[in-house]
Amino acid sequence: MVQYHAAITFALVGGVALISLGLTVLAFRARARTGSSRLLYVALAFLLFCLKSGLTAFALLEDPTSPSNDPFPLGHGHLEFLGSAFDLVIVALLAAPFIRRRSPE
Amino acid sequence: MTGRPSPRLRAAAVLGLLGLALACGAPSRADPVDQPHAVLSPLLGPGEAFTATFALPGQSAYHCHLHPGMTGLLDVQAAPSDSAPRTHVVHILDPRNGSAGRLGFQDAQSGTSTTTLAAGDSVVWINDGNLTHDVAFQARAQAPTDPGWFEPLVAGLALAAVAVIVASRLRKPR
Repeated sequence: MVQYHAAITFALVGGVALISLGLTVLAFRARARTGSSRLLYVALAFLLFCLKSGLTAFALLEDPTSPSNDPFPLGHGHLEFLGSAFDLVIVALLAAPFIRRRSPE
Repeated sequence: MTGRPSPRLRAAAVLGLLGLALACGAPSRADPVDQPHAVLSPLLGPGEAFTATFALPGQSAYHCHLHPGMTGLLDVQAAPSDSAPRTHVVHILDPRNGSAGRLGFQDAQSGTSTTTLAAGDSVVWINDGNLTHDVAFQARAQAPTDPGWFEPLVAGLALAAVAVIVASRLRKPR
């Protein structure tokens, strides 16, 4: 049985949050320098990565073994559902720069 | 950014979101008592216990996630009208507690892994071993404790965000 280690969990998930936060800042700065609207979508995607990792770290450290029927709002079942919702929006943000409106000829 | 999405695109996005939000919310509006509901106890260390109450008749097999060979059966029968709720004890055994090599669940009354109880009774699993165990089962008797608003709200917000993202790329330039 894998023993639960708060330090390892926090290092993995917290690391993703910190790196995502750094990438968010870099993307916003690049957008401000170049004026490209597509970089805004990338920056927002990284921001959501950061938020998702922060919520995951909080939920895992708060009650890592809570069952899916626990009223804790970020329990096991809810956390996976919330993570999937975040993934949907992140993927949409990363795909948005590829959507082009057809120009009238 | 300039331009606004067309009225058709906005209307389609709103209607689509409403429909999906209602669809996501439909299961939570069903009768919760008749829904099979997965129950997983917390990890039980030596000496720890977990209690569950069963309100409806039916049979439910349970097992330990950490030791798949450990299984038991709950046989919930209709309660007599004049009976008071009882608590049934199930001992969780493993070889390290001197139980002659047994690894499993043992009902304190029947001595087997089957517990016969009346609707409304409770079962308490007590870890008498030296290993960590848990108890997982499908409960028809337990109503879900999840708030019904969580999944529809999250799904609706996510889909609304996707609609806004797509609309922002498709709007007409001024």
